[in-house]
Amino acid sequence: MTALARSDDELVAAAQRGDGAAMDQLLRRHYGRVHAVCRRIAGSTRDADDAAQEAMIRVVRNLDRFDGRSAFGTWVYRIATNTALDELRKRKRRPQLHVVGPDDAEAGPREPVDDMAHRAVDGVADRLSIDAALAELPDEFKAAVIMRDVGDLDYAEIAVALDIPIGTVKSRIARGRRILVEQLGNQETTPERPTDNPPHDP
Amino acid sequence: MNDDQYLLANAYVDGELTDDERRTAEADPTVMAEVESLIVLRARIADVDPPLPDVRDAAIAAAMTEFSRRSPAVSTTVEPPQRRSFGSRYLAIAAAVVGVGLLGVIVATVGNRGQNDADSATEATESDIASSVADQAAPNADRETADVAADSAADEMSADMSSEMSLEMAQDVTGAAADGGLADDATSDTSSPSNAATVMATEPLVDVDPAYDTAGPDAQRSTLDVDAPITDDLELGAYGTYLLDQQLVGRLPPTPNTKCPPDLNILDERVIVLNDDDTDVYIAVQVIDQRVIAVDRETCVPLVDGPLFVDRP
Repeated sequence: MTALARSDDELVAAAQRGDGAAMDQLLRRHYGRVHAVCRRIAGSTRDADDAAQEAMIRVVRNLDRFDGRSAFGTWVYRIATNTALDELRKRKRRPQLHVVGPDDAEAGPREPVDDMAHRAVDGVADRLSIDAALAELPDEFKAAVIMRDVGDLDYAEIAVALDIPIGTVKSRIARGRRILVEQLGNQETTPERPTDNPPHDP
Repeated sequence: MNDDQYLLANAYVDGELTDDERRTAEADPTVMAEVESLIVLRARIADVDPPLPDVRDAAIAAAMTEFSRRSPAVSTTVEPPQRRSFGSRYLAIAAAVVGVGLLGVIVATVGNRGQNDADSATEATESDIASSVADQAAPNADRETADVAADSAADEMSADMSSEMSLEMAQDVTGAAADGGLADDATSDTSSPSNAATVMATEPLVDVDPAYDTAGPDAQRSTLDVDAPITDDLELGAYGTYLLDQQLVGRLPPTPNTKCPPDLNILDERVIVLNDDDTDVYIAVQVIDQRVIAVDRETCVPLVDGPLFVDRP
């Protein structure tokens, strides 16, 4: 009988011996954050779904090679990051559908139904702007920032995952965030959608 | 703000400073102002919608299918519960027949090419296929075994045989297996979430027969006895799934009257074998988390859990 809250190490050892329940538990434990990492790197939910699934499969395929030198989570998020970057590269090679933006709204602004709806719209807009800013970020910065801010890995873990020195991790995260702030600043100074309080006529 | 201050602010936000460095940062208003904005930025980056449960389940199902392929002897234990059927044996026999037929074709082909044309790779492939067919066509083999037979034959031929004829025959194996009724499994593409979901959807989700198979087709599997003590997490999962199905069809007996929180969703009481001792527990089914939990009857504390096998609409 399996006790609750078995550690990753215990589950990995069991899964490496062929214990399907342990493998299932490991995958469920890490899927949420794997998906979040993929979502931020790949930039769309659909691509994140595909990347997260592929990452799960790669974890299974390579489990025998996991030797425990890093934490299992670090290893998994490294796989997720690489898989999502692969997905992103694939997507860049294929034609994209046109994303409807504010310029396409010829019928004028829609008024929010209520305050909650307004907040939801703001939330979606905020996520879209983050996605747009992340999309402009070079991959090496993106991977470091997302592993830190979404994957919640510390600098040492990111250094292991990306096989770079800790000092490089530190600078990539800082530079990546600086670029993001600049991107977001540019977006926010550009009027992308009408506000609730249009300027009064002089 | 200079670069040093900016790096300091970032490391502060990330909790990567020594005590001395932290004091230095906190004494610098410029750094702390940047810290405030970085905290907001981090929150925005981390604000990601959670995956949909069906997407998660499809991804995990696809990964577990891969796991099953890699360690078929023991890894099939997380499949949804299903009763054994005569059909599965017929599928295995069909796969074996296809394999034996294929072997005959190969022998004839090699013979036509002449004995001297048979290189070592082809010989190895014949041997692989022969042993694969022999191994996989055992009397107790069923659906998954048939999968392995078809997959291994196709894979081995694709990998080992270099001639165009060999590749065509490898494809024929897969096609023949599909014609024989193996299409749902042997040729399923689980590389996308939707396809993986389809694989799961082919499994019987509701079955009121208590003879739930907790592990699947191989010899190590057992049939769940709803009255016997539960001995492992898979049996627990299967029993929870069974309870849920009973509830869906309106046949669930009255649930125990407990003092435990209602959100545990306790559906029954059973005996489990925990640390070699029989232990009375409540069985709770957590549909959202897809877990079945054995709960201590005195304290309402979860003791052990198992996977809920179904992916319900």
